[in-house]
Amino acid sequence: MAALPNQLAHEFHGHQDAIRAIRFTKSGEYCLTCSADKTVRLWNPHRGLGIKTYKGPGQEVLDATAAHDNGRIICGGRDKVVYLLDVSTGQPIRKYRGHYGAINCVKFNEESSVIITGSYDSTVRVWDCKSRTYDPIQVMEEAKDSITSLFVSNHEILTGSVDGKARRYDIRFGKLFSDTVGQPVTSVSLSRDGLCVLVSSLDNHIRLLDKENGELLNTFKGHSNTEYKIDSSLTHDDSHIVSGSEDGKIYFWDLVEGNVVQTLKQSQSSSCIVYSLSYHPNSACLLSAGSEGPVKVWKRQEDMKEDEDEDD
Amino acid sequence: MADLRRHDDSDEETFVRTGKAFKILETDEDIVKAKEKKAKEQYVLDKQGRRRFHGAFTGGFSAGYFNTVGTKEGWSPAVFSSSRSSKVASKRQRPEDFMDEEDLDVFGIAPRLVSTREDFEKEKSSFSASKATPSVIPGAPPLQDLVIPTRSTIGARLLKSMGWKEGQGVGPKIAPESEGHKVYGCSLPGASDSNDFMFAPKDIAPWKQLTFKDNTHGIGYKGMMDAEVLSSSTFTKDLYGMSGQAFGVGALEEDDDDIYSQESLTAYSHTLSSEQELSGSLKYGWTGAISSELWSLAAFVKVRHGNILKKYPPPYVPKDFVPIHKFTTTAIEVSQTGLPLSAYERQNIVSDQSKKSVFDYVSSEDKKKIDNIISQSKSDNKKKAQQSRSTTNQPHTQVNRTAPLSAVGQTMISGDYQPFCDSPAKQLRYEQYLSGKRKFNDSETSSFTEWERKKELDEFSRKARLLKPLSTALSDKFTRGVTADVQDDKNENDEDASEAAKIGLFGVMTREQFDWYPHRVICKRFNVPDPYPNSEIVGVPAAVAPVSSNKVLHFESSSAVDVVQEEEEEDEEEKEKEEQEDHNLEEKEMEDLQADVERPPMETFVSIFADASSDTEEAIASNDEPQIQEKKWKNLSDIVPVVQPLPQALPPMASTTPATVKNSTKVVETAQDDNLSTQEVFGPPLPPNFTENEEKFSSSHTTHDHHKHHKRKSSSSHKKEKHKRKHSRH
Repeated sequence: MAALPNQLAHEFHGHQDAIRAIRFTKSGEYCLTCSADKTVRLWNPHRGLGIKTYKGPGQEVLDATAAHDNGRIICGGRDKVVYLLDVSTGQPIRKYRGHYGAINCVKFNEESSVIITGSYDSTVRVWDCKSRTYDPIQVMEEAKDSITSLFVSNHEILTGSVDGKARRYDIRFGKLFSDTVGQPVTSVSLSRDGLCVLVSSLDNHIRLLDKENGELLNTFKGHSNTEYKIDSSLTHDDSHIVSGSEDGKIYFWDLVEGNVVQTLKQSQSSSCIVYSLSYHPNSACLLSAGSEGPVKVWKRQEDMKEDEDEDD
Repeated sequence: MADLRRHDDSDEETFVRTGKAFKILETDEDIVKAKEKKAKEQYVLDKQGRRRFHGAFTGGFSAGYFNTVGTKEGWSPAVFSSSRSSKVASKRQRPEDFMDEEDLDVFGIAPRLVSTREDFEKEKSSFSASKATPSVIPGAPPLQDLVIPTRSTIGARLLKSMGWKEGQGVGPKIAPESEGHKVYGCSLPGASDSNDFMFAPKDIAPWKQLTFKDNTHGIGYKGMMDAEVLSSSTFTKDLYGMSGQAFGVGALEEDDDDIYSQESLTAYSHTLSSEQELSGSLKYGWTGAISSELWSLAAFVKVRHGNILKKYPPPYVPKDFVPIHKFTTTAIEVSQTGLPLSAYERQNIVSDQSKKSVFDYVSSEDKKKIDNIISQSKSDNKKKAQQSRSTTNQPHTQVNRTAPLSAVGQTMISGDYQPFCDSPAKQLRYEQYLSGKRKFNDSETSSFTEWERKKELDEFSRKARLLKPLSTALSDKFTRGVTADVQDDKNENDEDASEAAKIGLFGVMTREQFDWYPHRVICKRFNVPDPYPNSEIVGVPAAVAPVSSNKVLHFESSSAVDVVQEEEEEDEEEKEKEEQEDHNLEEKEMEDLQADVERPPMETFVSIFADASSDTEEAIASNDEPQIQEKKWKNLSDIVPVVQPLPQALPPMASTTPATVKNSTKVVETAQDDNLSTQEVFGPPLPPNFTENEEKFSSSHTTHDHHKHHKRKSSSSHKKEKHKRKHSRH
C-alpha cells in the first residue's frame, strides 16, 4: 500500500494546447510530453523544470519516445511523418515517411536501432535507424483497424488494434500470436517479468492475459473507458495496475486481488479525461496528463522528503 | 458578294464558293504596277494626303518637321494674355487637344460616333427612372422589357453579308425534293422545272444530346467546375470603378454599419489544420474508434446504393420465338360459349399439358421406395424427438435443430460429399452424428471442453441443414463438390473468438497462431537469430494469413511456395535419371578430365556449362551464327579467369585426388552463381555419399552456405555431381 505514489510532487505548465502523451525516458530521469501545439517538450519531472522544446512536426504530435542513451527522440503524429530528433540540437536528423494515416504510437527497440510505429492506417512499420534507407524494413498489415498502442520488448512486438485484437509478433520464434478481446484495444503492455500482457479495451475493462496461452488471469474494472485511448500500465514492481479513466481519476488495482486500491484525482471536474500515464521504470513515481489541467507528477510521501533534502 | 449557289451547268465549278472574291488582275500592266512599289514608297497617307509617321496606320502621329512632332519654328510655349474685356478662360487640357482628326474618326483611338452600347444599362436607368417619375403602377414600367436594343453579333453580320437571312439554316442551298411531292389543285404544265429553284436548308437546332446520369450527386449538383472558378464572369467588370467602403456610404444604401472597415485578428484563422481536428470528440488525439456521424458533412447524404449504374440486360428472346400470338382454338371456342368456366377448365386452358412433375418420370417401384422412406423418416423423426426430449435437458427448439434427419443423413453418409475432409476424425464424428448414433460424451471428445462440444454440435446441425438434399431418393442423381469453403470456416472462427471473449473464455478459443517471418534485418537489430534462416518470405504467408490488404506480399509469398513444390518434384525426377545415366557418363567424363589437365580449351567449358543455360546450348547447336557465338564467349571470359589457377593445382597424372577435383568444381560453381541466382530454390538434401564429401570439403563454410550449394547443384548441374561422385569412388 505504501508503495503507491499518492502525493502530488510537481505540476508542469507550458504547453499551449492539449497534451497527447507523456512518457518517461528509459532511465526515468527525464520525461517527454507531446502536445497538439506541434511541439515535444523535455522535462525533469523530479524538479518540475522544463529543459527543451522541440519543434518540427507540422501537426499535432501523438506520441514520442527517447532512445535508451537519451541521445535521440522520435515522435510521430497527425502529419504521418516519423521525426528522429537530436536531443541536444533539437534538429530533425531524419524523417521517415510512409504511413498513410496519423501515427498513434512510436517505440524504439532496446538498442534504439529500430523504430517501430503504429498508425491509423492499420499498419505497423519497422524503420531502420542504422542504414540509410528511408523505407520501412517490414510492414505488419495483419490488423484490420487502427493500431492504437505498441509495446516492444527485447524480442517481441506487441500491438493493440481497434479491431479488437492484441497481437504479439515473436521475432525469436517467428510466430504471430493473436488474442481476441472483442472490443477495441486501447493499450497493451507487457509486465516487467515478461509473462503477462495487460490489455485495455473500450468496454471499461482491463485484462491481464497469460502471454504463453492467452488465458485470462485477472480482470480490472471500476474505471470508465468507453470512448478514448487511455493508457494503462503496471507499476515498477508488477504489484499493481494503473490506469487513467474518463471520470478525471487515476485508478490503482491490486494485481492479484483485482480490487481498486487507490484513486488519485487528476482534476476536480469529473468531465476531465485522464488519457496518458507513464510509470517510472524502477521507482514509485507516476506521470499523468489529462484533458484539463497541467501534467502532474505523483510520488510517495517519503520519496518527496528525500528529494527535498537533495535539493537543499 | 457571296455566292452560295451550286453551278450545275459547268463541270469544273462544282465546288462551293464562300467569301468575297479578290479583284481579278486582267492586264499585265496591272500586275507590273502592283509590283512596282518599293519599300521606300510604301508609306501611308492620311485623308489629307499627308504622310503618316513611320507607317502607323491609325493612332500614330502625323509626321511634322524632320519626322518629328515639332515645327520648323520649334516649340513655342503658350502665351499668357488677359485683358479687362476678355478675361483669360480657365484653360484645361483635354486628351483631344493632343489628338489628330483621324484619332477621332471611326477607326481612331477615340471615335466620336453614335452607336449602341454593348451592354444596355437597364439596371441603373430603371433605378433612377423609378425614383424620378413614380408611376401609379408599382414595379418596372410594363413595356420596358419589350424594348431591347438589337445588336447582331459579328458572326450574324458576316453571314448576312454572305446572303444569309434570318430564319434560314446555314449551309449551301438545296434543291427541293421533287420526287413524290404533292401538288394541290391542277399541276401546271411547266411545274417539273421547279428544280431550278434552290432553297436554303431548314433552320433546325441540332439535337441536344441527353446525357446519362452516371454520378451519385444530387440532381443539378455539378461540383466545383474549373470553368466557373476561372471564367471572367466571376471578376468584377468595372476595372476603374471605385469600390470599397472607404468612399463613404450613400444615403440610399442600407449597410452603413462599418464604414471604416477595421481589421481584427478574429477574422483570421490562425491554424493550418484539417477539418478533422475541429470536430468535438477528436480533441484528445485519439485516432481510433470514432463514430461515423462525426465525419459526415451537414449538407451531404451518404450514398445508399453502391452502384447507381444498374444495367439491365435486354430480355432473352428464345430462338424459336415467333412474335405473333396465335390463339388456341379451344380458348376461343370456350370463351365463345359465353358460360363461366370452372377452375379445372381454366387450368386446362392455361397449363401446358406436356409438362409433368419430376415424380411422373419415376417408375412405380421407385415410387414405392420413396413412399417407404418418407414414412420411415417421419416415424424416425418422431422417435428421435421423443428420445432426445427424455434423455437430454436441452430446450425443445434446440432438439429440433440438432435432431438429424436420419433418413436423409444415411444418404448423405453414403454420398461422397465430405464437409470436414480436412480432419478425418471430425468427419467421422459428423457421420456418426448424421446416422444418429452419436453420443456426445464419447471417449474421443472427452478432452473437449463443454464449449467446444457445443460448438461442434451446432456446426454439425448447421452443415446437415445446409447440405440436406432436395429429395433423398433423387440425391444419387447429382454429384457434389468435395470440399467445403475455407473462407466460411475462417469467418466462423473469428465470430467464435469474439463470442468466447465476450463470455470470458480466454485461451484456446481466442488465441490464434500464425507463422510470421520477420525480416532478417529486424532479427539482426534485435540481436535474435533468424527463425527462418533459409526463407525468402517476409510477413505472414498468404495461405495462413488473415485477409490482408497487401496484394503484393500475397503474390510473392504464394509464388515462392509454388516454386518450392515444383522444385521438389523436379528433383525427384532428376535423381531417377541420374541413377540411370550415371554409368554411361562416368567413363566419358573420366577421359575428358585426363585429356584436359593443363588448360582446358573453351569447348570443354562449353560442354560443361552447356546445361546451365539454354542460351549457350542453342549457341553450340547453331555454329553458323557468329553473333551468338560472340555472346557465348563473352560469358565464358567472365568465368575463365576464376578457373585459371586450377591447372597448377592439378597434378598432370590421371590419378587425380578427389579433393582437388572437388576444389575445381567448387570454384567453377561460385563463378556460376550469378547465372543461377534466379533459380535459387529449396529442395531435399542430396544422396549421402555426396554430402559426406561435400562436408569434408566445405568445413570452413557455414551450414547456411552449405545448404545453398546443395540447392543449386540439385536444381541445375547434374554433371558436376557425377564428377564428384565418380571421384569419390576412386
